[in-house]
Amino acid sequence: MSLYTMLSTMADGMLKTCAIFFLTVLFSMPLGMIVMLLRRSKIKPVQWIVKIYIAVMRGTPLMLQLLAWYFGPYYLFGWSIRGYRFTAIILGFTMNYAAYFAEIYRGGIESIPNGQYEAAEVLGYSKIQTFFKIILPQVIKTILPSVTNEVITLVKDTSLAFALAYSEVFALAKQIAASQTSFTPYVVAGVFYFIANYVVAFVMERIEKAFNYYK
Amino acid sequence: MVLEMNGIRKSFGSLEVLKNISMQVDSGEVVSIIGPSGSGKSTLLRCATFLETIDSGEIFYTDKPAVTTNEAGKAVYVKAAELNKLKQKFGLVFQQFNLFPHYSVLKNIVDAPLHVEKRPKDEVYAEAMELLKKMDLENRAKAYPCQLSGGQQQRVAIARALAMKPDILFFDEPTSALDPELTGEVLKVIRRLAEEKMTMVVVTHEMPFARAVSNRVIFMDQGVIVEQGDPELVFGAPQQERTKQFLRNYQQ
Amino acid sequence: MKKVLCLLLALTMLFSLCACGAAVKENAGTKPAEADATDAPEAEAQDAKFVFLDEDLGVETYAIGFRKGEEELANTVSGAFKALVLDGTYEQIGSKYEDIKDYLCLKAEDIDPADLPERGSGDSSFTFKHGFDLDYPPYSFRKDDGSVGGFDVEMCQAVCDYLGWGYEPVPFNWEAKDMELNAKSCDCIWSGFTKEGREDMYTWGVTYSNNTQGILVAADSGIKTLADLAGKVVGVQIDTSAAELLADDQKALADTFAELKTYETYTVAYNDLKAGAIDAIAIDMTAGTYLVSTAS
Repeated sequence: MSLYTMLSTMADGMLKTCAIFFLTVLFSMPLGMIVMLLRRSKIKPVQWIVKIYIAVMRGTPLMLQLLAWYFGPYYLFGWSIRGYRFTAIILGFTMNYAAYFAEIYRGGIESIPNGQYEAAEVLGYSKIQTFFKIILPQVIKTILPSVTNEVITLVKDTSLAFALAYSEVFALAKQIAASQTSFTPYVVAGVFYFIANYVVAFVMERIEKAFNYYK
Repeated sequence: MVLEMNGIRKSFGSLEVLKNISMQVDSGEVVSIIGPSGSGKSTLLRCATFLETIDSGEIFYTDKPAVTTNEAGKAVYVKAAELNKLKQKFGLVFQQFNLFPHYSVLKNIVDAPLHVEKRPKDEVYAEAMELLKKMDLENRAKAYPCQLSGGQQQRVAIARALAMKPDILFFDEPTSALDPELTGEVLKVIRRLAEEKMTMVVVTHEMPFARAVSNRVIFMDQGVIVEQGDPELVFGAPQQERTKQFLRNYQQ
Repeated sequence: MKKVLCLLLALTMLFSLCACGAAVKENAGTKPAEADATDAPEAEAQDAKFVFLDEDLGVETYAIGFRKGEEELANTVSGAFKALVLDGTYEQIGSKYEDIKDYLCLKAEDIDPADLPERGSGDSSFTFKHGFDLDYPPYSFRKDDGSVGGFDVEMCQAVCDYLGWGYEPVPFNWEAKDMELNAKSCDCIWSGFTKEGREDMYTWGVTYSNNTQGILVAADSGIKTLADLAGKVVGVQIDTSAAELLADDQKALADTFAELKTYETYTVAYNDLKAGAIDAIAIDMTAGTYLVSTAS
């Protein structure tokens, strides 16, 4: 196998890795917001359910969760799971990362001093205005470093999709390594992850800088 | 009468913090509330500004009811929309300033008038610059709170409260979080407001300031008003033993 | 400063990548020569750095596994498979894969032509879902051109063509093979799948290949017999027949090892062997031969 063929074969896997990454970020970040709001709900049972959800998502390996999302519908309901592989992967990643993001958001929200709410209340801001104008921008600034960490972890975690034999870049690297008896595909995958994370870190650093105008 | 509070009671759990407090503030009056920590003076202010809900009693702003008491003796607040209207009658300056750190000085001042009161932009900005001038901060309009000293931040907070054109301004220990050399500039601003006949209620530990600026001093201890009246009388010739003791401790 | 350091790191990685790439190309270049070498086995034996011990660990067979109870499907597929043995397709596909052609165990003369399904007799609306592992050359793997292939893949495609079925490849993760099969995301496990020890777990189709488990050692290691392995470090890939044998039938032998190291893939084990970190690898002969012939 020439290096060119290897790279073009793995390029396909890189696209698939990117697909998992972007779709997971796209869905899990807003979902995390909803989970966080439910987690802070005043209705106790809702709080419990969300707490259990977060505990399960954080307390079990993501690989197991992916298997459960993919095979669950068949074993629980007897539904056909043909053609469902990619959906299951996105579901698994999204639900898992939403739990982590929810906790990051919660930490961010709880770090905002009560005085900010009180100042907004006395000035007559509505609850929604208070959240979006006063609290959220400050929360985003505080949580950015943790979010960056989480997003970088996600880039590397995409390789767990191999559990469902989705040929993202790492699964392809394994396959080519087996057939070529060579470490080169791993090096290619390593360089890919490194560059991807470098880009992520670069973008996040830019965003952090954009928020640096105040302390 | 700008503010009228009658028979205010407030408990945190089994601890009764306000025991049947009544207080009236007339237009143009400057009232200082003094007393040891834990006396309930800050809580009284927080109840007046609806940051805490009272258990029983009545609150009126410019004779409009905000809280009344039903037959069972429990406090009943007016509807949220009504209450929000009444919130525009007062402003509150916090001990910790509580400026919005992500907004510039100017935006801190104009944001609520623009987006809560929805007043015209030109007018709001012009007034804001006027207020900053009054606070000797006109050249810091574009700065962010973190770039200001504590005294400057507190003056911005006062400007922010004034931008809402309140009928009455509350101060909750406005200089307690400041370094001693910075308290002066804040007190100077409050003194200037007093000269302009701004109605104010100031919870403070600055006794000389309270004596010099206020029309009336209220001494609170253990949830009750122990003594109140002309500052010269309260400071100069206190009637109650507890007041004497407090002032004596304070001078030491 | 940090950025410079990062760039340096990236460059180092790129350089090492280029070096590896060059090695791959060299390797690709020597392929035809290796094909020649099989014609002159003695010459190869002299050059070989790694050899199999004469004694083997045991012989096992590869067959097609179906969900338990699906006799009809198993019979149809097996019948079509046998028909392809008769018409020479089996041998023809096998001839493409140097490393396994000697292990193919079905002979045309042993097959009874009666009762085999006719060409095109299958339901053309049916799509047969072929479950396999892509990490298992030469049975199922990613070929030099990056496409999916291998003996099992080609045979399964030929079976589907013969019957008139549609063919759908379902590459799966080996650890999840049973879940995939039972959840019906595939119709069979057909991927160099060892029958021994699993007789009762599946409905088995035709047995089409032998698989001898052997011990691969460095030619100059001095290890000549299984007994010589006492006190040595032996590597094996997780979840393979060799690993199962050493845990079961050959447990007594495994107990004499200094250590039995389990690897995620044979690629890593082989590199450890080359580096001298381990003394031997327990592996089936086809995969082992493939490993030695392709590894740079």
